[in-house]
Amino acid sequence: MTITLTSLDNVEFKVDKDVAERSILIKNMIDDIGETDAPIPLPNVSSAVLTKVIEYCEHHRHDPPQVQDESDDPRKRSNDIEEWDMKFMQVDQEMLFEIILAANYLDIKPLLDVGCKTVANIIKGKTPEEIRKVFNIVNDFTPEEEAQIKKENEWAEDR
Amino acid sequence: MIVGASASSLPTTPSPSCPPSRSPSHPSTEISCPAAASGLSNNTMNDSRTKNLFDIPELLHRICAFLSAHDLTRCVLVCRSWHALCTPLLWSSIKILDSTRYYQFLAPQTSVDALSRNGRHVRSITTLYYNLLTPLLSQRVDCSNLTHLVFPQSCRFTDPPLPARALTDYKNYHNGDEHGSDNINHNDHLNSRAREPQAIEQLLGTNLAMDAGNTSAAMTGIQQSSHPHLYQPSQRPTEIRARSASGLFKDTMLIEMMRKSPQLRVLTVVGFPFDHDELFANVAKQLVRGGLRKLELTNLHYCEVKASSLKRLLDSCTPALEELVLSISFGSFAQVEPGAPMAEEMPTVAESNGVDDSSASPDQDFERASPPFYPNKRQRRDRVGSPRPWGMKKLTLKGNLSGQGPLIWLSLLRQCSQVQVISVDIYADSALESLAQAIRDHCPLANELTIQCMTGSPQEDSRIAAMIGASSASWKHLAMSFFHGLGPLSATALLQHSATLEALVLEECDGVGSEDIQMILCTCPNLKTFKAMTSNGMDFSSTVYLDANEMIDSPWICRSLENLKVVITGMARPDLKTDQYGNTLTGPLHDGTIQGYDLQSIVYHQLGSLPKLQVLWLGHDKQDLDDEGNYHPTATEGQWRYIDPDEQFECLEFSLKSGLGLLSGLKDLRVLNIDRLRTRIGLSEVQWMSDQWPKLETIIGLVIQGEKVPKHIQWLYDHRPDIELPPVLGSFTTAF
Repeated sequence: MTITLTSLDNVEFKVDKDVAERSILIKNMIDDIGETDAPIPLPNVSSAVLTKVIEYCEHHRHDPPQVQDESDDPRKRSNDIEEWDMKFMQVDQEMLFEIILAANYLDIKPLLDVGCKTVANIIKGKTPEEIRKVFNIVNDFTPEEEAQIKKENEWAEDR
Repeated sequence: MIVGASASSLPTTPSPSCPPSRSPSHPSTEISCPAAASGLSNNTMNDSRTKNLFDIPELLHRICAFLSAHDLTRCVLVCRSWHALCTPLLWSSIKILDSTRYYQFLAPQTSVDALSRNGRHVRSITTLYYNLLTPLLSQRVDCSNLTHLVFPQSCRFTDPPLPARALTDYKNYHNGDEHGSDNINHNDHLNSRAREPQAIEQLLGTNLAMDAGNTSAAMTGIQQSSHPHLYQPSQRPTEIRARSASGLFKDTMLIEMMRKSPQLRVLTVVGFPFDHDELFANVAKQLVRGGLRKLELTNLHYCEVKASSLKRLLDSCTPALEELVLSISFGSFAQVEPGAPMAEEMPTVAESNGVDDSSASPDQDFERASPPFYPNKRQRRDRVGSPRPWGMKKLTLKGNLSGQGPLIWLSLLRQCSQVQVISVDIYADSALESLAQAIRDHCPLANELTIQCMTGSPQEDSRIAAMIGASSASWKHLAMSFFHGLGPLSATALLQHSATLEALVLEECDGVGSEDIQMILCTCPNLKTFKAMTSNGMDFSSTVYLDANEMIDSPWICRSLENLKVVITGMARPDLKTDQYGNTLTGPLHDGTIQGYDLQSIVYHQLGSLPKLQVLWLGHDKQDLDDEGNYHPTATEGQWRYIDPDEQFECLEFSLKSGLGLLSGLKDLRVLNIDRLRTRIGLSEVQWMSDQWPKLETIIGLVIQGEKVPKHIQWLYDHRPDIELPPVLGSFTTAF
């Protein structure tokens, strides 16, 4: 069975039901509305982004449901992105952020995780100034505040 | 700027009237305001999308949850809103494992100011330093969300030496000064360092850094003997009190910490002072409260411990506990007080499966064992006659916990109807039988067993077989060490578990035959780890090995094997003429009767068809340097030559000519051990290995200490310095 999705810019996308249902949001909508040919509007997602999202869902359509990782270590790892996903995420920063926002809105947890891990990998190893540069953030600390924060958290830094 | 229409999963973006910082400390918390401490909203410049992404605290939080502590220290410096959001993440886990970090953490701006602000975010503390508890116990600090408290290696009870780069902060620092009256009188206890370093170390069995910056060497009046086992702390109560009072550390801090953290689920203390009876008793009391899911108390050093105290702890376990590790060192043994009533066994506990047994015999048992200590009424109900099944999944009891007395852990084991993983040391012959019975009758889910036989005497085949047969769930992991006396019954018993076995380790276990080994490899399809080796240094040894002839026309079924440790022998080696003692090698394998590489090919072929193999360990790893029989006189007076009996002369050649190429399929191979195998590895061979085994990390047995470096090893040093070649001893001469 195919579902029709309409993007922000009114482009229609026809996808198989099981692909569309990788998005919990869409899955719930279908469960509520029932089977219908009417297209599902996604006014938050542009066609460019929706194309990417659908590409991801189609590649991962047969993935088993995610198991909650119950380890004692609260910190998670970001170095385990599979190759296809890594290539998939090789897009410009704007598209990367759009994908994350879309995955968040559409409730596609695996895609959200991959996106977040990718951004985390961008942040890794950078100084605060480098992070600001990459994401265009203004430093609103006074030098005194910065010094204080640095001192307070010294214990957590690497040598 | 609002992102998205009525999407329920998107929190709306900030409005200035939002209440400040209720920073999310758990990723799943839905927040409708950004966690900007100063109420300022995000301040990105041009990129509208960046602004949107980082405006959603939940998303920034999700991203930062993947970052290391170090990266988080960078993030908190980016801007105010990042600082507000990342600080809780940064403080959720405190890891202090070196002295520099220790003193950095103790600096007032951290241990007083920042800790007071962020205590509630702390979920997990991992440290070597017991005194880190001092700032945490301050009334200003909220530790109510602490779930994990871990001292992962020998817990240090004194302050470490000041780091070389002593910053001005540290010089005037004295742990405890800042808190003054906040804490119960610390300073007295911290200031009196009572005893000679060595005696204390022996007494407490802990690894102490005695050259700590702040110790003063005030001696108390207690005389210490230099032989710890002559000192009987239990005989003089005043002495115990005095010891604690002027002890090296404030042992009540641990208990206070447990009280302060009602959410504590995991407590690990490696280096736990078992002989501090009051502390031990208090830990047991805390345990009864039922919050802990995992408790580990280990001491790797010699330690005096009472069997009754251990029993009290075991009896304090609640159904909520899922994992228990109690481990005392080899060499320590629990003392059983003469005349002290010790409950030997509990009657069969039917209530663990829901039958309300109000005969309350476990209660009586408990009270008999330790008169002054009773669980509170609520806990009693929880443990006796409670339909609630015991949650214990993993039980590890190492060391001689029962001493000369009856088994203290049996009654606990009988309660644990859901236990899956059991690891235990056996010190008495009767213990083996009791263990087997307990598992068979009370632990239907047991599927992993690690057992060391420390009795020093051989066990009956039938008893060992009974223990192997005790699992109704069928073993997934079975690791046995030092069992001498395995025979046909045990072998048959092992094969009953062939369908489920994933790991089988028979370390220094005698009596396993070559055909048994082959059977195992041919009937256990899920086997990932298989180790069966004895070394000649052990008493009772008949060497355990696999005769390659068994492998003819008998392929192994364990295609997922990852770790193989076994001696494979029986192959013709006409190239070898003398053994390690200089004697001529006789018999068809050496005199030229059998030529060619037929049998070796079969072995290579079999090994080569294990695509997941990571560790191939064909040589012995133990050497008994203490066995005088291994030292042989030389021509020179007073000089003796060590010769290892475990050298192999019927093994694979590991030459390309003999068929090494058949091992090309081992693409996951990381470790190769050929120690004391007489191989014919040359330049072509190491080049082949380097080429065909991309994941190779280590070859053990190639480099022999003291010998001249041959060309092929030099090639490895030059071209593959990444491959470790740890030297092995080989034969050497010594004067006694």
